[in-house]
Order: sequence, then C-alpha cells, then structure tokens
Amino acid sequence: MKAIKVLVGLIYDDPWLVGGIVVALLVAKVLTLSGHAHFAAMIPLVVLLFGSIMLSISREVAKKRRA
Amino acid sequence: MNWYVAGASFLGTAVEFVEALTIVLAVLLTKGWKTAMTGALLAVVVLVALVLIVGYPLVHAVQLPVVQFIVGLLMLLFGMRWLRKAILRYTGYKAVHDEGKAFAEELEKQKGRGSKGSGIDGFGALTAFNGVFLEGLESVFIVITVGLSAHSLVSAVWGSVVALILVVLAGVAFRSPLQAVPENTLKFVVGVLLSSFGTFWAGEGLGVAWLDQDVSILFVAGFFLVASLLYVAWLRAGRRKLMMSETQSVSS
Repeated sequence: MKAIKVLVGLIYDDPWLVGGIVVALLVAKVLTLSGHAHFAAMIPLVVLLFGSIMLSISREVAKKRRA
Repeated sequence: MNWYVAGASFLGTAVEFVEALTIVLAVLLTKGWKTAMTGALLAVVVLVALVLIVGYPLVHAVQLPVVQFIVGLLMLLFGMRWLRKAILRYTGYKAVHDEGKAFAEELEKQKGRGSKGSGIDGFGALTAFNGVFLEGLESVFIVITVGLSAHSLVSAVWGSVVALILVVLAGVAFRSPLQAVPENTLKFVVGVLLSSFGTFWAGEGLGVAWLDQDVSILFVAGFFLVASLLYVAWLRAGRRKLMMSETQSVSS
C-alpha cells in the first residue's frame, strides 16, 4: 500500500519525467517486437530516457524563471 | 572439486555481485547503512527461501524478463528523479540540500513525537532490495546452470561463495573513502548509476539485445554522465546570461 502511494506520489510530482520514461519504454518494446532488438532499440531507449529528464528540467526551469 | 566449474561460477557470479554491491553502496552512502542493510538482507532472505522452497526448478519457474522489467522500471523512476534533482542543484535552480539542517529538523520532529524512529528510508530500502534480489536471482541461475551442466553443483556453489566474500570485502574497503564525497556529487553519481542499471534491466525485460551484455551498463552510464554534465554546463550558461541581462536592465 505504501509502495503504491509512493509511486502515485512520483507520478503526481513529476508527470513529464514519468510520461517520458513510459514513452521511451513503449518505443523500445515496439522496436524489439518489429525485429530491431540491437542498436535500433538500444539508442532510442537511452536517448529518449535522457530526453525525459531534459524535458522535466526545462519545465522546472521555465517555472522558476516565470516566478 | 571441479576447478573449471568453480572458476566459471566465480567469474559469472562476481559480475552480478559487483553490480549488487554498487547499488547497495549507493543506498548506504545516501540513505544510511540501516536502510541499505534492511533492503539487502530482506532480499537475501527472500532469495534463500525461494531456493529452499522451489529448488532446481527455480530456473524455469521464474520469468526473469518480467522481474528485470519491474526492477528496471523502479530503478529508473528513483534514479532519474535523483539525477534530475542533482542537475537542478548544480545549476542553482534548486537550493543545495543542507544535510545538517535537515538532521536537526528531523531530530526536533522526533523529540516532539517522543519516539526514536526506525531510521529506515522506504525508498532506499526498496532500491537496495531490488538490486540484491535481481542480481542474486541471476547468480542463483548461473550457479544452477553451470553446476548442473557439468554435474558439479558443489564446485559451482564454492566458486560463487568465494566471489561473494571477495566482493563484500571490497565493499567494506571502499565505503569510507566514498563517504568523503560531497552530498550533491554523490547523489548525481548515484542518480547516473541507478538510471543506467534501470535502463539496462528494463531494456533486457523488454527484449533489447544489449551489445556485450552487462558491459553495456558502462556505456549507458558514460552516456548519462557526459550528457548530464553537458546539460549542466548549458543550463549554467543560460542562467548566467539571464542574470547579466537582468543586472544590466536594473542599472540602466
């Protein structure tokens, strides 16, 4: 129960980061299912995951600058 | 004793134990030894119970990709959050965490409640548990498959026990020098490490065929490290430019 609360809290705190992780994993799954299990899946997975951190930080920075 | 089997088991499980040690050390340095040990020991208990109850068929009974995906996803969620916070602190967009102040506040809170508190962080314990459980499970698979294929399970077990002892000793030796590293640097590195392990495991669970297997973790960690440092430099430059233009507009 506590673990579920923590996970819900994570999504609530940072929906862009969690959303980015989900998209990256979905893209990797689609690529592996379509037979691209090596570089074609590896590189987008890693790049999209880091992209989700950048997206989350850029939103935070924009929020701070507006304030 | 079959020395080839013992050697193969030693090398295979040593890699897994080093990976587990990295995660336990990361939790130990950021959340304290109680949290790290609780998670790690709980994982060992669950693993031993699993081996005793299920025995050899464990190799077929557990769906490793499912476990890898769940553990990888959790590591990604925790690790990337830490990395994000550390980047924001490096760039000055978030205040650097004052550990001394936080400790004093927590102490006051506990005094107010009249309780000592367990001192165990649920997040950290779960991370240590996940790391030790998954790596331990992979080690059990290595010992069983290497041991059974060469009909020398005892040699395989001995190989892995020696690997475990050596890795634990290495962990004890490295703990003190690592504790001297500044807090945000530590959290930055831990964030990079957990994100890399999480990426690797979640990818494995999804069926990604990593180049050179576990060695890929180093490449992923290298990418996250370099990309994060470049991003920090870019954000700092942007902040500096903004502050300069604000100063100029105020003076004019």
